[in-house]
Amino acid sequence: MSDHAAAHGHSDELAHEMPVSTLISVFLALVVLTLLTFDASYSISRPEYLGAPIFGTHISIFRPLFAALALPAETMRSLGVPIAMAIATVKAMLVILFFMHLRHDKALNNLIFFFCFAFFFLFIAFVLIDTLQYQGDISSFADSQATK
Amino acid sequence: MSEHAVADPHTGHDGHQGHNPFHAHHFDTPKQQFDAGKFGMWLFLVQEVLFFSGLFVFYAIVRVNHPEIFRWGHQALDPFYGFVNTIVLIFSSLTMAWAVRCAQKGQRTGLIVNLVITLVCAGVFLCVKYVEYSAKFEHGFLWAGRFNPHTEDHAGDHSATEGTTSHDSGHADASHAASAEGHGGHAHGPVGPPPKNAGVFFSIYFGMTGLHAIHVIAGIAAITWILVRSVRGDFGPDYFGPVDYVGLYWHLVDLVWIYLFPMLYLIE
Repeated sequence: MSDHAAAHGHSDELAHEMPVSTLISVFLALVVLTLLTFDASYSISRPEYLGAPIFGTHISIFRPLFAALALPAETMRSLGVPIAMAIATVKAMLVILFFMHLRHDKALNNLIFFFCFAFFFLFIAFVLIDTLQYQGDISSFADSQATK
Repeated sequence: MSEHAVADPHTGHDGHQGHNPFHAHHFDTPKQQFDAGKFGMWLFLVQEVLFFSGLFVFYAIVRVNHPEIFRWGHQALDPFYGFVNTIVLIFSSLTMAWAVRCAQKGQRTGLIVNLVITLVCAGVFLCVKYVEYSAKFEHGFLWAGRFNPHTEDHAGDHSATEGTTSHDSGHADASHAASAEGHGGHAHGPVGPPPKNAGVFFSIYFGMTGLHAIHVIAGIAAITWILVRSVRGDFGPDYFGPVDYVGLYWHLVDLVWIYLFPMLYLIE
């Protein structure tokens, strides 16, 4: 990443200045992605959802996609979390890279933050591996207690 | 921070750094001071992410092992309120980033206007949260231990909408009946009896959104401090570190909400 802002004319500049056009574009992208999250969620969970009603027609990105894939209902439901989290992560990246200027920040600050994200996912992944490992024992124990 | 700089920051009697009264003596250059502050802020933000990660793990464990709790509980949340708050927070992030830009360019009026808009958005966010929380308290949708739902109390409010949707969802999953109500009113209640340990959903809901709301309140305090200093005229191209650092914190609050919103309001 650029430690200095020489490209912007002021070598003594403290930090990169984000143009207003970039800020507003990022904001609009975040709004669109929020609507896309709704679209994905409703396409999965609401059979009566046809799309966002705009100018007399229904506009949807995910509904035709899911209709084309024709996945079983259970697979569709299991897709809800990964799709929503993927869209949220794209939104988070936009905020981090542009609103928080990390794209133009020092390499060290980038390293710190993205390592933190990596450890965050490691934390969740290891705990999930562990809890799934023993869930069968727990439920069989609960069933045996219930039948007593 | 560098509050000790001088008694009157505008006269610039700061020894060797006449033009920048907030340049602390233990830093060689304003650039070094700015980078040190920013480094510290990033370390703090990383700590915040890991602080929240415990609650995210709580969510993940319950979600994986007991999805039926979420399928039932999320119907008590109105995605419309979540959507409004998402847009409000994203917009406040825009004005905060704009405020940092104004501070960098020495545009005092723009800085003040943007900070005020950010504060107003934070206030709107908390008002919407207040409306949501009071509906939960009213209906007994509280955390495990205090969980005592009395959905029949507001059944009358929604009998019209539920009546129209019950026939087409009679054969299907009970959640469809609530979904069909759309964004009409507040607190459309969950359909069907609560599953075992349903209160855990509200433990997660209040734990995560409550901790987030505390961060919003802390953000309001921090932005107010920056606003007072902006009115005083402390910030300019040579010194805007505090605006940048508070901005980073505010964006992190937005970041956490970006994940919380689909996790609690939208995913079934």
